[in-house]
Amino acid sequence: MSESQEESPYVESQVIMTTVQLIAPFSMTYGLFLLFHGADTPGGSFQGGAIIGATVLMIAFAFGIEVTREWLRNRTVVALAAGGVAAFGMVGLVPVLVGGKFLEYKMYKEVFGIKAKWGLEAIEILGVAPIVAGVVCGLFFAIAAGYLSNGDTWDSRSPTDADTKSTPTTEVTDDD
Amino acid sequence: MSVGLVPLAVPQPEPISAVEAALFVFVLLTAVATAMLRDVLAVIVVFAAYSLGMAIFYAILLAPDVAMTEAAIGAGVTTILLLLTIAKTVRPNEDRILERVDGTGLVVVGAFAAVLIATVNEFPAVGDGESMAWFNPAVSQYYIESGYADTGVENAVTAVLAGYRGFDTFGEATVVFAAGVATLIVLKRTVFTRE
Amino acid sequence: MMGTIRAGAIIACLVLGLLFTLVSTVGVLRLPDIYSRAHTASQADTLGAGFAITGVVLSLGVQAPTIKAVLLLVFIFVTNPTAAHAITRSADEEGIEAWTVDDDRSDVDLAADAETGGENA
Repeated sequence: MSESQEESPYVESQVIMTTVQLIAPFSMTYGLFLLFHGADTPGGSFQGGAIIGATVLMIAFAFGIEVTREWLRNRTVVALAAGGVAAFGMVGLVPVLVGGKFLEYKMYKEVFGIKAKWGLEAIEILGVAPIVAGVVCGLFFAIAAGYLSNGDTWDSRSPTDADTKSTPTTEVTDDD
Repeated sequence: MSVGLVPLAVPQPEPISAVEAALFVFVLLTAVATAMLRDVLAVIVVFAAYSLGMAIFYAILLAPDVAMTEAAIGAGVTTILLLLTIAKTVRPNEDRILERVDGTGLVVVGAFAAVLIATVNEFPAVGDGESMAWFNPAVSQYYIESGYADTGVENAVTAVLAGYRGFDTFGEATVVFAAGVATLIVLKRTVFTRE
Repeated sequence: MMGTIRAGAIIACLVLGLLFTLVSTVGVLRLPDIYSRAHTASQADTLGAGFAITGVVLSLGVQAPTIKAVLLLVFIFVTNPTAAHAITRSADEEGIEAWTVDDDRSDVDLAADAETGGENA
C-alpha cells in the first residue's frame, strides 16, 4: 500500500502550515512581550529570545527546513548572535571610556543623562535576546544540515535537495 | 536599615498539597525513565515531559522566570535539537527496553543520594519567614529593598541578572555564543544556514 | 441562587473534563494502532482539557486572567489536533499500515511494525 507513498517526495502538510500561520504571530508577540516587558514583569531577555527562536523553529518544521533556510540568511543569524555579544560589550565598555567601571550604569546617568534603567534594557534587548534567538536558530539549521563531508560545500538531507546547491542563490530575494 | 531586619510578608510554610505530591512523583518517574530507557526517541519524549513537570514545579515555587526558561529551553528547544540529532544519526534498535543497571554505579549514586537526602531536613520550609535567608540583610534584603532604586526595574530577577550580576550575564551570553560557534566547528561548517 | 448554578456548572465542567481525559487515556492504552490512538488522544483529550479550562474560566469570572484562560482554550483547540495530525502524517510517511477489522496481526506484531516502519508487513 505504501510503496508509492514512500517513493513520492514529502509534501508539507496544509493543516500544519495553517495552524502555524495562526500560532506564530501569537508566539512571536509573546516572545517580544517577555523581552520588552521583562524588566517589570516575570520574563526577560533569555526567555523572550528563546521563544522568538523557537517560533522560527516552528515555522521551519511546518514549511520545511530547506525553505526556511533560504529565507533566513546566514548573515542574519550571525549578525544576531555576534552583534548581541558586541552590543553587550559596548554597553559595558562605554562607562569604562568615560571613567567608570565595566557595566556601571550610573555613569550613563552622570555623563549622558540617561537613566540607569535604559542600560539594563539595552543589554537585555540588544545583547542577550539576539544572542539566544540567533544561536537557537543557528544550532537548529546547522544540526539539520548535519556533518559536512569532505569536498562538499553544501550537504543537504537528500540527493534531490543537494542538486539545488548548483542553482545560484540569486533566486533568493535579498530582503535583508 | 532597621526595616530591613523585619521579614517581608511571605506566606507561612504549608504542608505539601496533593497537586505538588502528584507532580513530584511524576517528575521523579520521568527522571528515572530518562535514565533507564534504551530507546533514544523514548528518552527524548520522556525528558520533554520531565522538563514540563519541572517548569510547573518552578511556577508553583513562585519562580516564573525559571519556569519560563525551563519550558522554552528544556521542553521546547532542547527536544527539537535532540530530535534533529537522532534524525541525522542512527537510532539503535534493540530488544531490551531498559538499560542494564550497573551494581557499582548504583552503590555510588545511592550513597551520593543518601548524603543529599540527609541534608533535606536542614533546609528551611518553602516560604518560611523565619528562615536564615531573610535574616541576611547584606544580600537578599538588600536586593529587595534597593533593587528598584539602584536599577529602576521592577522585576528583581532582571535587576540582579542584568544589573548587580551584569558581568556574570555577559559571561553567560558569551558562553551561548561560543556554543553556537563550537557546533559549527564540530560539524565542520562555516555557515549556520546559507551564504 | 446564581452562585449555586455557577458552582454546579463548574463542577459539571470539571467532571466532564475528567471523564473525557479518562476516556482518552483508556483509548491510548487499549486501541490497537497509532492511528486510532492518535484519534482518541486528539479528540477526547482536547475536549477534556477544553472542559477543564471552561471550568477554570467560569470560576475566575470576569477579570484579566480569564482572557488568558480563554486564549489557552483556543490554543489547545487549535494545536492539539494539529499535533495528532502531524504524528499520524509522519506515521503514514513511514509506511505504517492502519489496523482494520479483519486484521489478524496481534498487538506484538503491530508494535514490531511500528518499530521497523512497516518494512516486514
